[in-house]
Amino acid sequence: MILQILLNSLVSGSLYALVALGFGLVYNTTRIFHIAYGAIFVASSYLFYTFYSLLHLHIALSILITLICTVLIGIFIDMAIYRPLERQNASPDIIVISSLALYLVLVNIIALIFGNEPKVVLETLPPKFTIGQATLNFIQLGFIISFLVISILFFFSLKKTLLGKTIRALRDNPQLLIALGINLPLLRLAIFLLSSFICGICGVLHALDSAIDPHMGMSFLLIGMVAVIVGGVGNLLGSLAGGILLGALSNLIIWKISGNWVDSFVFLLLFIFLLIRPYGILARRRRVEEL
Amino acid sequence: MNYFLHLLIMISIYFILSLSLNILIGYSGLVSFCHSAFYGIGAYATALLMMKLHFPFTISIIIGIALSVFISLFPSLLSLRLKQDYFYLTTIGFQIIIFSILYNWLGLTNGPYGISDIPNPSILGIKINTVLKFALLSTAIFTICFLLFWGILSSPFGRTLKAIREDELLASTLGKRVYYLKITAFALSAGFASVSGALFACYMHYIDPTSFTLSESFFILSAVLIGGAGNIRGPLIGTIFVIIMPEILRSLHIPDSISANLRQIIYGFLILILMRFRPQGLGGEYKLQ
Repeated sequence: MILQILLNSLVSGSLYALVALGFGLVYNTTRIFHIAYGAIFVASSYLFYTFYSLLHLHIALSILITLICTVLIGIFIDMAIYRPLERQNASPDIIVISSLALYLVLVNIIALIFGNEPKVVLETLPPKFTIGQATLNFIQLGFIISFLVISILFFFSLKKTLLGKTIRALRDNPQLLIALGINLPLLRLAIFLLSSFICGICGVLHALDSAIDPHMGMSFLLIGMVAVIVGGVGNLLGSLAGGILLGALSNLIIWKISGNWVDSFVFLLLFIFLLIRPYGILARRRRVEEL
Repeated sequence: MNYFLHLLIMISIYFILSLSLNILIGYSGLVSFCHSAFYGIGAYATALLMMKLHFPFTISIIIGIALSVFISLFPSLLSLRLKQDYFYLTTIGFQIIIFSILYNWLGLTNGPYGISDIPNPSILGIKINTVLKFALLSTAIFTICFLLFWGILSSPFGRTLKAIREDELLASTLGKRVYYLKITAFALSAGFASVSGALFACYMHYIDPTSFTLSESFFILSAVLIGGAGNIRGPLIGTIFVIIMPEILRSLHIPDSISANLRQIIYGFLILILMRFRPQGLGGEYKLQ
């Protein structure tokens, strides 16, 4: 029983951690409160549903096309919405409201095309295997593997490569980067590309694992946001840790109380953190005014 | 005739909601995503007090306001000291928690089944039992609220809020207690929202948690943003727009199943365009800077 709970926590924690990583990548570097990220998640699930279930393409090809389209959507959102706003020095309020409006537009367009009712991508249950007393299916194993691969790749490149170093530098001082001759628009492109790519993977994995509906994006977005704050703003490793923590928390609540209260406890955890540790678990201690 | 009275009642309920949200967005510069939580608290408090404890309508409304103001202290004390981003997330979270409580606390709120047979209110011995009487009641309550908004926002308190909105640091160097004033503004707006909740509950005779979701908060927010924040005129224009829009879609014979999605697409596009080219909305004055 305990092993099963732990494995389930790891499975949902992997998905939450990846969602949080994608959101945190944008939030920690550009300070954009990227609500439309939730819509990108929904869009990628539905793109995959279209290619795989409706057009009957091969699964690998469907995933590939889905990821390409998702990345294009993400970059388009930055080009068409965020950059013009930042060029006219819009306040964070305007950007977050625009992002929310964009979320509503995209999600409702998807709902208009596919309907509001849930859709199932995999008609049959995927093959299962057992570890000790716990069972896991291959899709869930895919969650854990993608999480491990992406996080290891990510942290290797964040620490070692020039791209990773400039991404970290962008978070600290964008002006200095311009002075160093770094191509800032290109860097931003890379950030939105990576973030949407990760989001696309999450969307595909979620579509394979459970039923999808056009309004599911908000709850994943919220979990991702909370994981970023709980993990520590400005620290991408923290976002991943926050995601795993929330995965464990939500499975604990489902086990001990009821699935209905998961959202409430996720935000209760956020409130506790805002009260006692607003800088998150992994970030260095900062004064409230600096956050 | 009853159709127009119905529209009049809905418009006055949403007038109170959008004007109270305007205290936050337009006057204090706080974009809050939890307004329908207070709307719901007001509706449930009034309905439960009138049905379970047989309190009169007026007393139930007043207790509802007090409860709403009290509960509003939780999100505001938590997040108003922190940066703006935390405020967004805290208000979204608070909205979700209130919705979960309304939805899952079966013993008190009857959960997803909602509360039905909410009695007609009676005021000063007059039983409000027709749509016409209810329209008069809601217009009267709206007028009282409107005068209160007017009074509050043109008072020194309202002007201080505007000063905080424009430059928080400057206001605090002038000796204004920024944190305390923001909490007061948040509490005020929560109190007014619960009045419209009470009206809604008594008018519909039935409430369930799905009227008080995060999307409803977005809906109220879009009324304020489309009309424009920062003065009284803007939210009024926006409210009329968002309430009349579904009726226009209906008159174009667009089926209800599509209409809800289509409406949100229209509001979303409109807000996107307004934020880019005219952040003060159709008739507001605060440019959200």
